[in-house]
Amino acid sequence: MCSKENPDTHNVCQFCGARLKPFILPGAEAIRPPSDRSSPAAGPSPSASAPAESPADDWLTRLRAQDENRPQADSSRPPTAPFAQPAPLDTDFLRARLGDSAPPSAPTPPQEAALESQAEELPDWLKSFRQPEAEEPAPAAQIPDWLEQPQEAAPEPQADALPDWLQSFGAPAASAAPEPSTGGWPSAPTPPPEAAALPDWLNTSSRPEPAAPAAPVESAPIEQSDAPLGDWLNSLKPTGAPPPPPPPQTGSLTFESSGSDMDYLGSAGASQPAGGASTERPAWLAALRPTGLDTPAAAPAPLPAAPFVSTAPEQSAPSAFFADDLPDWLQTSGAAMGAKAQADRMATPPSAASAPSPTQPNALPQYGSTEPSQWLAALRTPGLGAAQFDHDREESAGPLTGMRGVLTAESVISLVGKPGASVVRFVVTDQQSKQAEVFRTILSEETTTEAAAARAGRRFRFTYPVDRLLVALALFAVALAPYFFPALASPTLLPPPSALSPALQGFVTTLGNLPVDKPVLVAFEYDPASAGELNPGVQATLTQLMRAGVRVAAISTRPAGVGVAQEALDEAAAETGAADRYGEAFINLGYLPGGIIGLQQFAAAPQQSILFDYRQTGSPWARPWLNGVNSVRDFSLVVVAAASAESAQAWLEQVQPSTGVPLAAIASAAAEPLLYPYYQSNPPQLSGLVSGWAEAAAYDNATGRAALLAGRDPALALRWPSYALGLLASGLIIAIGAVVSTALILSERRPARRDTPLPPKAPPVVGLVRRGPQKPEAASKPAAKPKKK
Amino acid sequence: MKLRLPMAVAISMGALTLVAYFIPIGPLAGLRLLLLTWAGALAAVALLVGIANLALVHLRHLSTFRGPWVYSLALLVAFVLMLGFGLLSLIPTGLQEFADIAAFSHTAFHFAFVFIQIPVEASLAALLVVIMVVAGARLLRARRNWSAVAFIVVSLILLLGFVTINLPLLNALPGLRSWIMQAPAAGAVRGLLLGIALGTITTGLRVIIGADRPYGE
Repeated sequence: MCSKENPDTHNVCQFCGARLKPFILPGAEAIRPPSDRSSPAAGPSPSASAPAESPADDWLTRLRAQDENRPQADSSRPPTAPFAQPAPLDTDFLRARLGDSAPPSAPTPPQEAALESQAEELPDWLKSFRQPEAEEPAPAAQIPDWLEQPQEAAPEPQADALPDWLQSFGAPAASAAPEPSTGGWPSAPTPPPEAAALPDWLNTSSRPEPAAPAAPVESAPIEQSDAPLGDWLNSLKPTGAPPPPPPPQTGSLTFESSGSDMDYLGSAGASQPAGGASTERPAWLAALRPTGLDTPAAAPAPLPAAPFVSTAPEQSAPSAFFADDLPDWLQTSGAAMGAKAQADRMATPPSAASAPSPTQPNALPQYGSTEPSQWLAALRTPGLGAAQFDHDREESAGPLTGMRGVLTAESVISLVGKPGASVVRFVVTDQQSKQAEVFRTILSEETTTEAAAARAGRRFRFTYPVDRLLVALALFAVALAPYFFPALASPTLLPPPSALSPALQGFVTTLGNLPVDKPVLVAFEYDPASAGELNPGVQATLTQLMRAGVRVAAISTRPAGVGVAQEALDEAAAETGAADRYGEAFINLGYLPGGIIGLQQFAAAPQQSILFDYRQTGSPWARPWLNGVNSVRDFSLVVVAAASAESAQAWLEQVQPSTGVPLAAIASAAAEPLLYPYYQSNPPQLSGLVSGWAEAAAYDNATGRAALLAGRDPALALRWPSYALGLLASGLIIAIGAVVSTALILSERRPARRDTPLPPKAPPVVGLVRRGPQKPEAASKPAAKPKKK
Repeated sequence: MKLRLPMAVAISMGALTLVAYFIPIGPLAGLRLLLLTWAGALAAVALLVGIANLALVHLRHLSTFRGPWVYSLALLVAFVLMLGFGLLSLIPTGLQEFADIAAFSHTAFHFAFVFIQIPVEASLAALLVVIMVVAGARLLRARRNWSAVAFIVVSLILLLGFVTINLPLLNALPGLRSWIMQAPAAGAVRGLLLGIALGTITTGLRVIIGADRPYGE
């Protein structure tokens, strides 16, 4: 009840759909008993009867007055207390009814004996029910008022005052009470088979209308009941007639626990166990159902699931057809029956649950319906019973938020046993998919390249990469341009480098302060491939040393470096006029094997490491200027010309620390960052550094050798402009390539993606694996086209 | 014994060399020098063994005409010629009968080195320039991220920083290049060198204490 105001003309609340006026069955006035006994059909809820104190309800007022005169012990108990827990309510109600209708002395001695004999066999929880029954009578507060009324109106609670049908019903009901399955609601207001044996108030409920078939309860076989049935129930057994169709889902009926006097019926129905034979609905109750309710056509609209009970008006709209005609207690009972039907469907296998039946016009799964989705049904583990699910648990996250009775993922995952389906594939993220695609593309390119090479071999196709050829031609043309267009080599546009870096300045200073009487060791740690970059710096150094009169000894730990050293020495000697002074002004010690081990050996005992010079002129140590060299520290300076940083590091780490000899380096530009920390150390392990041809040219300019060479051969002066233009062309090509690549990337992103429809979004992946057949998506994708070269 | 003997020899020699490096006194220094001489001789022999193995492999290819046997033939011819010229050039000058042969061999050996090996290796290095330039131009097609953009920008600065051009904006490039090489690049390399040094020390100690046995199984 929403307690909102409604117009007086409304019978049902326009907000919550609750009845505002008491419901009166057609013809109720004619059959109302003169004794003002309450009628169950006309029993209004307290909230509904409060605003309308009609004269017809005077009998209720009198009943309340009589109720107030009852003993305080009974009236002090809250009337809604028995309905707090629905499960034991049924038993309490039955015992209370039996206790009230028949006093403690009412059970006959055989019945008592039978009960006592069965007491030992009963479980503890049933004994707990029996114990208060034996000690004290059932509390009257647990009995609805309409049932207390006959008790109060009777002069004395004697068994003789009971109707026959109740006397015959008492003993079996007591014996059947311990069984939970028979503790349901049907045994409470057991209707008599004959109207003459009925009390008057019950006669009023049995309308003369033809009774509708009690379809909702006849689905359960009545033979399964262990409790003895009365004659009137036996008469209700089907006599060969085909069972009526299963009831339509009545879950749309709103379940309102408004504390009505008749709510105990709804509670009993909710606690009714599935499959129990006692679910048989008596005829008098079936007669109260509106006609056409049990037929499939009477329920055309899809009915919401009972577990997903909602009291929203729009959800109860399909039941508005008969909602006004049904009393509240029947509505609650119908809602409970809908819950039972839903529980039965959840217990059935998915295939059976999802299969449409003739009596289920709303077989299509939809949100809020009782039918689980197909993908949800696929997740159900076969053989998992309904008892293992918590139907009242409400989903709190995910797309099923707010729904009840949903198969929980935890219960599926935590099941131990044989998996229901095999793992089809792993769940991969988008990033992993991209990486896998890149890996697959690389592999496919490898295979396509081999295939293309094989085809090229057969067809003699020209497959040379054109872009590389164009770049090579462009660089070659630019490098030759100063020789054909001297204007490009103008010193005003491309001046030779003259600035000296700190490391280069240290190199110049170190060489300028060398003593003449001590030789200098030059290590050639590069191959002919790097000679183009390193030879200018080496030549400048050698010529400066030879001009200064410093003797030079060369060595190399590379087999090819020995030849490079000899060429550099010969060229420097020719430049300084000492070409015929091999062994006197310079000497080539040759190859030093062993790598860093050979360096350590040479640093400690050079005369033991090198026995012959490169030209095999004898022992180099026999030369006068090398005779006193017993260690590397006897050289005034070690100059390492290295193409790689590792070669220079070997000298810096294996020779310099152990000998303390000054060490300078001529390295390629690529090795400069790795060698710079040795120069920046304190004290510096590296006295000076010449990196690349640019600093070699600067060093040449600083020593005046460049001008000397230019005066001797003007073509030598064009080497620097050629080198500078080549660098400019390389940078320009890289920049153009970056711009073009960016433009291509942007042009690829823009168009077609919007024209092509987006693929359907895949359903969310539940758990770690997907069950069922999967589409081979990766295999279906076409292979990436190989790049055209 | 098969495993323990190499391990004992390696550990003892390594520890002895290490101690002699820090305490170069008396017999320790002589023993360390002896071990280093042995190691150098073994390295030279290993080089000869490698050359012989290379010749045998290509000789096997040539004998069976398997694979690109033409290249094997070229390698073997060059190997024999250079080895022959080198050995003949070592003939002592005192032997007058072989003086012409020795002079010719020396000239031929020098000619092959100067006019064949040096131009070939220089040409290969020149091809590397073209490949690097093309790779730099294609870099953004292969890697579409900010790291590639930064790589291109820094490489352009360093490349053009070598050149002194009398243009307004390009004048500042040499200074910018020098700063990049000496500040961020040198700082990064310092960390790299420290890591390499620590790794080398750890590896050496593991070999000395026997945790790693690269000489055995």
